[in-house]
Amino acid sequence: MRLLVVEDEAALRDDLVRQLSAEGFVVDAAADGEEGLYAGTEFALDAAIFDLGLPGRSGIDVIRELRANGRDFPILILTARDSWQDKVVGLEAGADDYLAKPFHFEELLARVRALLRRAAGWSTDTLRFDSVELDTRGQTLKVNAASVELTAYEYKVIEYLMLNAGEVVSKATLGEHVYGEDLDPDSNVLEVLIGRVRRKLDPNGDLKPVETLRGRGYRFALARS
Amino acid sequence: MPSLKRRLSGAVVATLAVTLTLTGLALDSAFRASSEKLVEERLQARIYAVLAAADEDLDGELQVAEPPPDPRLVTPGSGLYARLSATPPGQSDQAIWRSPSLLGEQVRFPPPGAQGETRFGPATGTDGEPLFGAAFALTWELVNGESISVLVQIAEDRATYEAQAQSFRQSLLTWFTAAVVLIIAVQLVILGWGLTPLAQAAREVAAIRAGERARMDGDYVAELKPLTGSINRLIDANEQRVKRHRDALGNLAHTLKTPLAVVRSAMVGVEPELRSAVDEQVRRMDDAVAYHLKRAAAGGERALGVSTDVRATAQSIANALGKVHADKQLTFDLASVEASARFHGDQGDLMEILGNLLDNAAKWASTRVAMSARTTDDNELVIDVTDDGPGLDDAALARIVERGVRTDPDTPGHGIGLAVVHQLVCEVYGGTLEFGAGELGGLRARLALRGHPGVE
Repeated sequence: MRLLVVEDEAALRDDLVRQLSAEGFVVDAAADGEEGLYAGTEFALDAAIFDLGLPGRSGIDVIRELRANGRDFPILILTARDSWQDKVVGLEAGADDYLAKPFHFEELLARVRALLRRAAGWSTDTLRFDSVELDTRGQTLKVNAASVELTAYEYKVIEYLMLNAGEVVSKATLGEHVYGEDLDPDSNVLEVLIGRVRRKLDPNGDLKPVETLRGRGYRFALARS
Repeated sequence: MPSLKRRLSGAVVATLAVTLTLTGLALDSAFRASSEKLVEERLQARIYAVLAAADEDLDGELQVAEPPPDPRLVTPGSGLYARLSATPPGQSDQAIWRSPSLLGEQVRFPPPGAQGETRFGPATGTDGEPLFGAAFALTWELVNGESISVLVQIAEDRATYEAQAQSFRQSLLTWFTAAVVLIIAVQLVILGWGLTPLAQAAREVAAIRAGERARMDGDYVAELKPLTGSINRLIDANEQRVKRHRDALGNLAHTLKTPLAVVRSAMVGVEPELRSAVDEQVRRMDDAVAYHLKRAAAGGERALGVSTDVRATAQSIANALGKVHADKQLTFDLASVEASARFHGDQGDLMEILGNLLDNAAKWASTRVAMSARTTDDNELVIDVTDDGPGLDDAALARIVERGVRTDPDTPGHGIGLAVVHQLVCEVYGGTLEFGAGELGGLRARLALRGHPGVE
């Protein structure tokens, strides 16, 4: 999943990028409102974390503009100004949740994951399809109640496809959300990865969880349970 | 302090009383003077009539022809009396003729003046009553060439004159009364009209104090514009001051808390014991900073009152919390918040109070958070926030009440939300905050805030 972190305090921003990347997210970072607006408008994001006290353009302004431009990914506000007036203004501007500084990284992570799940229409941490179960908190996969080992990239692909279940996800989009901008569009890394994921989700070959739509991309085809 | 209207009315009435009294006195005196003049002219005419009726008889004696020249001179006690006397040379005054009206009357006529002149003066009647009188002395040349001194005296009662004067005064009084009533009525209308802008200003100030409007934006007369302009500038300055104050505190919070966030963030992955120790200190600093900054940011009541719509504020917080607690799909029931309920303080403070209470309720609720707000007969705003969560047992309730009373930000394991609410409600706004069991099964927070004192 691809996240944007907009925070002017370099130390905090670097920590967040490092820690979120370690949790398997593809993370873009911006140091001020303008950069944040650019990234929010241009990148295929799954969620964004905005500090409100940004130099130049305020976080609230940027969030309003993103929403006005139809960008609907979930947004979490980080703010040191934790008055209710500020919180309400931020949420009314289009943010989905807030977290007051100083926060615990674990709490931030839980909030971001909850926002991502919620945006996909899930109300629990565990995504269940047929005999397949993905725990987004523990990042574990169970097939027929048996745990399946996953690499970080395999997890990212499965999580993204599951959160967009039923939708056609193009190779380019999947690449951006799993690898960021670094993936060479001509490489066959994704095909290889999808092949591995299919085998792990469906060892017997009777579920067919990931469909390939020629020239269009992939679709997670299992029904929610 | 008397009202402006009373002052002006008093001044008008006093001015009218003095002016009309003086005018009345002047008119009365002028009327009397001209009436007396008329009386004198009449007496003079009668003197001439008596003289015209006087002539020498065949014996060379002076006689007054009968009947006398005025019928009133004939009737005894008629009120008009005349007497003609002569003083031959070397002799004393001899009455030659007395009008029949003098029969049985003792009238004292005024004494004569210089020869050829009429002298007007008071006369007295039988009972000593005052009469108008006149005496005319002249030298009469008899046919035989002898000259005698002749005196005509006349007196008239004052009844006609007094009756006229009385009637004049009566009508003067009637008209003056009518004029006074009319002038006062007109003055009151003028006063009311003239003071309308002041009344309007007073109403607007009252509305501002009650928080029903923000500024004095009526169209005022030139004399009041400096005043209403100053009030508006005062309100603006007040707003600006509170805003600057809050901004400064917000910046301070940002400056203090961002380093704390960096410290906490840098602790991820370090040895758990160290992390926990640093974390505890960060929490203490954070709570202290948050508590004291929120305390300092409280706007409180203001003389030129700001008031906040309770329902709209609660609604925006409920909308915001609906997002934050989206997983629980909570229902925020604000149906019992009276539409007219107003908080007499600024919106930031009400948001802080309701935000903490509703958020706390939302955290514990399973499906529902309910809020009610009503204004009691004693003009108190009573707000209840309840939830359908598990609630608290008696011991826990006692603890939360205790903590609320102590408002101690250093109690570990609790947020500072309720302490801030307690601080705002009880200390800044002088209200009360109570916790108890709610009808939905969860905790009920009830706060009561005194109403606006209104305009004295």
